[in-house]
Amino acid sequence: MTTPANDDETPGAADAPPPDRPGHADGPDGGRGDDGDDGRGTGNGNGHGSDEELHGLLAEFETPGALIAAARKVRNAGHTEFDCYSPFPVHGIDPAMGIKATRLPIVVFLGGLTGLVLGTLMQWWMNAYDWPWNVAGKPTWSIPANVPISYETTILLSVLTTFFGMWAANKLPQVWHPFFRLDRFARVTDDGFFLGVEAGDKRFDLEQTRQLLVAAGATHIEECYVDARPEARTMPRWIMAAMAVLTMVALIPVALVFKARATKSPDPHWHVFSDMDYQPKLKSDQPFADFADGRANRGELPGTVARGQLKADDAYYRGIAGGQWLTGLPAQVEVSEATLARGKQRYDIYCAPCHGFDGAGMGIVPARVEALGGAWPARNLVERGSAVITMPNGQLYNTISNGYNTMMGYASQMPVADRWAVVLYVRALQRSQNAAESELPAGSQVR
Amino acid sequence: MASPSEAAAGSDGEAQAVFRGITDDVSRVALNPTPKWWWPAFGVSNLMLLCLVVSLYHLFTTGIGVWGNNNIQGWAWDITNFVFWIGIGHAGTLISAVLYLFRQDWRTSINRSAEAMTIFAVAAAGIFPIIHTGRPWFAWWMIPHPNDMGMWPQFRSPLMWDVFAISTYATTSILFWYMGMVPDLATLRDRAKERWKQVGYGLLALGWRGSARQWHRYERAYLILAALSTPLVLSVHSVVSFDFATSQNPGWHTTIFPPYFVAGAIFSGFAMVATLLVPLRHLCGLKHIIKESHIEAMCKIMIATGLMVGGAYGIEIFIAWYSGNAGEWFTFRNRVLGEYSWAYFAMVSCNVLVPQFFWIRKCRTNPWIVVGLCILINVGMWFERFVIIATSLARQAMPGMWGYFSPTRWDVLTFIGSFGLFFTLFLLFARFLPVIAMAEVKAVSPEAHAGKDHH
Amino acid sequence: MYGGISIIELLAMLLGDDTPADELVAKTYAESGAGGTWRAALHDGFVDRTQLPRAAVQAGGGGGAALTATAAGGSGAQNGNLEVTFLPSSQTYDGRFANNPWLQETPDFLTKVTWDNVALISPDTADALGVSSQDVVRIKVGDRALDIVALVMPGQARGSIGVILGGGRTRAGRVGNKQREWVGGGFDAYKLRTSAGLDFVTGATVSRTGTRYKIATTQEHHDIRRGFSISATIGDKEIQKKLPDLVRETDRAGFADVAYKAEKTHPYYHDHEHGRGYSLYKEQTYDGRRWAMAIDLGNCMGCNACVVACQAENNVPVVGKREVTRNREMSWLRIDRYFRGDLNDPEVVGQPVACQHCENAPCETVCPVGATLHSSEGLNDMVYNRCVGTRYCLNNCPYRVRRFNFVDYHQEFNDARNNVRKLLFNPDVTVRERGVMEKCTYCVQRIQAAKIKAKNPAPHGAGERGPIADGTITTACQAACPTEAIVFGDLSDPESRVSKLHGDRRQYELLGELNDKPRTRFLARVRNPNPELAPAGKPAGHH
Repeated sequence: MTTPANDDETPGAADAPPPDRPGHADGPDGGRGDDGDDGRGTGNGNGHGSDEELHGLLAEFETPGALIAAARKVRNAGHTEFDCYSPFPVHGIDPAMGIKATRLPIVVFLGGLTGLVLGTLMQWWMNAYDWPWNVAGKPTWSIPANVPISYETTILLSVLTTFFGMWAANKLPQVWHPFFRLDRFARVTDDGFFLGVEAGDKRFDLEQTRQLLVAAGATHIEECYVDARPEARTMPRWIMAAMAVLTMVALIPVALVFKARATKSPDPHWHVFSDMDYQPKLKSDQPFADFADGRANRGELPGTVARGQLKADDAYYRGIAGGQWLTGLPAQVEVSEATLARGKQRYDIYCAPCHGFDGAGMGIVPARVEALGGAWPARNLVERGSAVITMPNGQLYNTISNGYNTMMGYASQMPVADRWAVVLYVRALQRSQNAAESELPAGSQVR
Repeated sequence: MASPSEAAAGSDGEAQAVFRGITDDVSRVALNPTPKWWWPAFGVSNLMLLCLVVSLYHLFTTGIGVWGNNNIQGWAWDITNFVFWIGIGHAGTLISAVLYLFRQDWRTSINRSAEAMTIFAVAAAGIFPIIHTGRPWFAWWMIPHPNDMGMWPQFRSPLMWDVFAISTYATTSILFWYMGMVPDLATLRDRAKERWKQVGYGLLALGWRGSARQWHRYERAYLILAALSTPLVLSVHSVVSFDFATSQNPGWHTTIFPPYFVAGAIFSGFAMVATLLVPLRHLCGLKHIIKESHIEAMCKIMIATGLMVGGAYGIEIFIAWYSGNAGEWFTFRNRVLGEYSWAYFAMVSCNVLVPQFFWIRKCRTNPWIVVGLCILINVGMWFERFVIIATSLARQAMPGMWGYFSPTRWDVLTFIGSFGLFFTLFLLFARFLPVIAMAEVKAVSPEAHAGKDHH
Repeated sequence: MYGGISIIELLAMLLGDDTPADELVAKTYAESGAGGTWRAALHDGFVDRTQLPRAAVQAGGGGGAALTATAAGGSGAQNGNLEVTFLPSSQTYDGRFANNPWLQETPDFLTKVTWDNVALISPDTADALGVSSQDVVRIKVGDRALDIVALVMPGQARGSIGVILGGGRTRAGRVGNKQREWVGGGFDAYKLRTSAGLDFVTGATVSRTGTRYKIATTQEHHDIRRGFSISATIGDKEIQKKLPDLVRETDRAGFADVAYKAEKTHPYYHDHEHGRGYSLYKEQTYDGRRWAMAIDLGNCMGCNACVVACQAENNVPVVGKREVTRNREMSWLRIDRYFRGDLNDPEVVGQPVACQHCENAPCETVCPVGATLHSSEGLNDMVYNRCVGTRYCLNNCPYRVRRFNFVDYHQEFNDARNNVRKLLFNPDVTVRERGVMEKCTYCVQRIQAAKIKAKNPAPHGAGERGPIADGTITTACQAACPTEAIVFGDLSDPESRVSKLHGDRRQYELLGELNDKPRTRFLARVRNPNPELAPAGKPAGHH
């Protein structure tokens, strides 16, 4: 059985409409002769091949009322695999066809509930749990401020569920359907009312069903065959390819972001938006080409005295009294066990690496150099009769502050009080290393 | 093209002829060659859109300082335009959802274009919250997302509520609009002659075939969406009004704002729908579908909402006095009598007095008068937002920081540009998409019951 | 900075002496015989026991009242016989600082004018002359004439035109040169000043030229005169109504009443049972340090030192005249100035306003991205690099102390000539880019520095490990205040000065009825005017 595309005279059609309907100047087939590969039309020109499978029968009716009546009849005849097609929802057809109420509302309710819970949880987690800052003295979690957003997420998820749920339940998008092959079926979006009985129905029998439809008042009946060519039943390749490419391209930035978050890189990060990372201001350690020394830090102008930096006390700050090295101790230095302990601690950190813990000049640095075959002599601070023992306290302090030979000054590491503490400790070391047995405290002389 | 009455003369059933007539008249707009009036209109809209592009370029490269906003009035025309456009959008949702729930069948001939207008108005509105930020390149920080700063948005801020409300509203409006359009897109698919149109409409129509089982779920989904859109549309402008109502500023901090804003939104939205549809029905030859009675119905709604808005103006002032709050009372006296009194009286005369003309039948039926009055109403509604935002901020609690806002040319250009965006999108819609919900119009026509045994 | 030489070095070099300048000075000091060393004198800032002997002076009786009568009435001279007084500019002095934009943009104490010098005319005289603010007027004295913009100034003596010097320079530099109206630069008032009348001249004629000139003021962006129209009246009346609440004052008698308290407990907003404002929710508490400030209005004299200090400390940009006319001045601290009473003989009240660091800060609630938050020590922190610039916080701040970077105010650094000015920036404070909100931080960089110092042991300076002693941290405005009107400190220390001031009976919260709980409190001013100086018909202490 063939259904030529340009032929309205079809067997079984009781009452075919005239070929040129008023108000439809382009005719049903004017734009439909060449659309084979989007799977809607007949495509192969003259109907189907003999091996094509029968999909069903499509009957046309004139009015919605006729369609309802026919649907009732077909249903009463025991058919289940049939459907009605109309340009608008025909009211009253649901009971006639026996369509049960959709469960979409329940799904939507669940979707909305999910939105409510997710929206509320999101706000709680983000503002009250993960990042609970004090905002305007308000509690980190209080429901009233969070109602609007929970409300909106509820609606948003309900809407999304409704929309996508409806299409999913309707098994759409589906660009291809056997009935699309029939030119006449194009009128279903215009003014046509159709009833299609599928061949898969248990009670389907080509002739009997046709009779049933004729009896139901069909004005036109057509057989519909499934197009055997698979390419006619799928989306055109180029559309699929374009969609695939677009999806891939859209995923690239996302993939890059995920890669960046998951890997480590020694490169400085990209300043897509600098966000004040580069400041016009200059910090004290920054270079600045406008000055001869290339530094932004201008330092102190010669001759200026900063507040609290007068340091007029020569004895304390420089170890000098009356033009001579100070022999005693400045008044600020208190000779006490605490000062000595402080001095030992500082000595062990700054001095011991070279001079050794005992002051004998063999710390780990000289020892290591010697082991490697070189020489890095450090002064023996406790050698009996040496210059270090006889030099005034002020000179010792000055040496610690400003260095001597290859020893560098420690003024920048140790504040003044600490340097005097080290002086005290060195004196104690010298005393202890050179002590006579008789000087030992009573009771500790006997080994 | 034959009119429906002529088509009925054919040998088809009369009902089918009516349906075919509707199909023809509506799809003709999208499928026939471009009408002559379209190009100049599109050209003008594009010029206006160009204003937006230019002013946004200047704005992004120079800063908010190109506008007149200042340290006293942090918001001015930017947020005024935002609220104005969002308000316009509300009428579309109201027509499509609320009138659907109330079974107002006359809505079917205007709901599609009203919904389209909603979406385009939301698009025009949606750019303002983004571009009004000082650093729009960081506007995405308002969307909750994990980030290397370990920070989250601050959900107590009404601006965050805005983000959710506006995005939900935009999403819902687009989905609702699109879903309603699918059967009509299928109609265009089946009638298009050019290959690219067939493929294009075919993809958008998702393979719709009008099956009764599909219609069943579709209608149910439509009903649910309508039922969801109704509270949504009320919430959106309420949330927008929270931007002001939850603040501490006299003149903003009032509880009347949510209902007052929603009423104003519907008011301005209907004015905009009428402004667009009155010319459209003439230019596209849709007078028999969008009937005079529809325009009249919209005018009547404008009388009602205009009165509501007028009432709100009165109550605002009464409450400001009655509350005994000195700051509030001063703000309102200043609004009416102060430096901005011209804006206040522009608002009151356009919003309260102008709609009163619609009591006269001639004003509802003469297209020129309708469009003129509707434009005046929209001017008034723009001033309403300006009055609320700019005049309240001008004189707040500290007289040491009182000021007066003057717009710059970039304020004006940006505003014109937002109209350009709106009109460009609307003209594209009117040219390429089904401007009237054919399936719905057919479904509510008397012929939809043809052949049924009435019992 | 570039290795230049000073004047004394140059002179010494001419005399064949290459000694550096500091040594030259030290040498001269040693020769002067003032005692001590030059370094010590430099460090202390004074030389002990060199003060002048105390002089015994007594006021002449009865002069005050006579003076007041004239002052209150003014000369009332007619046009053609007006007096012109020459006043130094509060910004450029006599014009020598004209090229300093910081000073140019510092609002004048009373007029609040920036970037220009103006002619001050009293309201009555202005009415008689038919002149209003921003009119360019021609002042003629003899054969000399000056075109200058007029500003109607309450309190200016009747019949006397106050011409401010220091503008209209042509060779001051890129900033100070006489420029277009929108850039400022002022008018050369020296055209009228001759050696015959260095301080004032009489016999002046004032006429309108018919042109207008935009003046950039930071307050009253309109004519100050009231009675102009309903719209002006409604604002001015409101200011008079608000003033006793904003700037609280009392007089000697009022203060003598032991029950006097500047803070009012508002019946609607105050929870008497708990002694605090009503709250719908449990408010956050602060267990550690609580930074706070107290500003004594009795000490404040509106000198602007704090404004300039803040600008320097916090890298606050200078925005230029055009931006000031659009109310976009950026200074974090402003001094509001109000006139009270008769505009021809008003009382002036001032009030420094910066961020109040409210505990219930309205700005924080509305920020969508959490760019302004509360620190655990009660600071209202502003996170610059999180700010997207919605300006909602600005709108919701009742004190209007937030400042927005409307355009890039640091564009000048694209010009290499301005490179060296980068050294003006405080390295401890972020320079804000355009589109970012900013405001007073209580000098958070100083607080943090003190905290870091306090946490570390004391090797590198005077800091001590442990608690931060009261007075260790001074904000820039506090350090600059010559009358010590601003006190900053920690409320959790009951002995701190700020705690004591917050407990003073003169303290009050600004806009306390909003229950924002500001951390900055003001101390009401006690006026005690000399009754002899009281204007005729006004009892002393009237307000």
